[in-house]
Amino acid sequence: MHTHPHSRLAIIVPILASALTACDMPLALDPRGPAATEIARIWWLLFWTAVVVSVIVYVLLGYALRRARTPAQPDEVEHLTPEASARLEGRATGFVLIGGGLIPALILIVATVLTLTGLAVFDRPPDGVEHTIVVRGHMFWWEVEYPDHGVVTANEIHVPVGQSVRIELESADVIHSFWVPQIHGKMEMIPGKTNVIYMRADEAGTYFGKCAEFCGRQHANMEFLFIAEEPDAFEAWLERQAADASEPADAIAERGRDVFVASPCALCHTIRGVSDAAAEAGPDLTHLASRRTLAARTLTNVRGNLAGWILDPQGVKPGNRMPAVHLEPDDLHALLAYLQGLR
Amino acid sequence: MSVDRTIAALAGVLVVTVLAIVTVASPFGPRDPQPAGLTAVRGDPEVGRASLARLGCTGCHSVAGVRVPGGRVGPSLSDLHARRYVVGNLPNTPENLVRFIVDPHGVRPGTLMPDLGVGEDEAWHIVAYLATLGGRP
Repeated sequence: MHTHPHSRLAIIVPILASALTACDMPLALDPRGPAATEIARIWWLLFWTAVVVSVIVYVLLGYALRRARTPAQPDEVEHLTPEASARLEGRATGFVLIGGGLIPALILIVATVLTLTGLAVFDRPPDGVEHTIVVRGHMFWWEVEYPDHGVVTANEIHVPVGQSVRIELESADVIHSFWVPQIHGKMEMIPGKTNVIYMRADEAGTYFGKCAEFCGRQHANMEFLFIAEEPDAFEAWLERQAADASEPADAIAERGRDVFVASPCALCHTIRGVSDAAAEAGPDLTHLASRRTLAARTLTNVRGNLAGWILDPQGVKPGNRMPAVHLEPDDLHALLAYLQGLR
Repeated sequence: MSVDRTIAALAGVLVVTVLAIVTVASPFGPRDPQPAGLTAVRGDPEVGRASLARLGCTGCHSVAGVRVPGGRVGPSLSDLHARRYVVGNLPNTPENLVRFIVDPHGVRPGTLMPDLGVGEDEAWHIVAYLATLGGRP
């Protein structure tokens, strides 16, 4: 059966069009910081170069296919003098060498130089860096520490807008990759090694971040929030986070604190001022209620989700490191009341 | 080419005919929109659906039409409309569901379901949404 080329186009074009309109611009191409802006610039340059090269190649290919279909006239070939034949062959060789060798080599050299000089800019410490943040990748969440302020939190990085911060990337287990597409390129988190990047958000907002190196079963749900806020709000946040946990507000919450300390929860999670600071297997919960999400941005931080997560973490994120904890109903309700008071 | 066209046209006519028979004349026709169980529910199903997600109900219950994760701590609510009894021994009426959502510990002391501070109006919206699930295949 013969399919007319136009009928194929009629199928492919609407599919492409709907795919293009259905998805938004990739975050990495909607930059909000200097590093991401540089990356997007290089990306567009390479993209348009590739478009131009592709158009030229396909036009030439089409031309060649057309020529090959029209049979050569016998007298066209036979009546060539040896000199003319050699001249034609020389032209063809030159065309292949220049078009297939020299020009691609030039493009690659320019792209390499642009990429290397662009990346080199990221490695230089910018002026006026005030804050250092240590981010440690765990299967499958992010430990976030502000060592100069005694702050430890998880899955949420707060930074002052418009200021460069130093981010030290580590891993507690396997290789992860730290990526906030709108702010910076990816950077590996390698066990036993500290990688440093400097990040600056030029616009206040909440940015999406995720693990960009396959690290295990819940890799796809290993996400975080990168929150750039006005310096005043940031300092206030830092001050609150540095404080010990809030006292329980009422008798139920007080019972919840006892439940936490007596249950297996306290073996992996720390609540500063309440339980052992050596429990580092899971996120620090000192200010759990101040966080927007649970389980590395899998769930919004509301009571219903918190209950479901505590009772059945393996149902929400199969393969994560948190075991289900059996709690009596009254203990669960008290624990929820307590945890939700940890602002 | 013309043979293809003829076959395509015949297939189209066949499909339309079958669809017409199925929708008009067969026992698979339009269903009772709210079969046995939950009926006559006041409240806005779309508001209820948003509430189910916002309150984190899905942390423990799976609910058709509400984004993952569908928890498996509590019963699935996707077929709640078809159950005869809920919360152990209460007849499955909208009123009982609303009471339980608003005050789980008052209705069923010792339940694992947390009190999410849901108001009565919001509870009606939620039940309205759960009732619509009966109209889905």
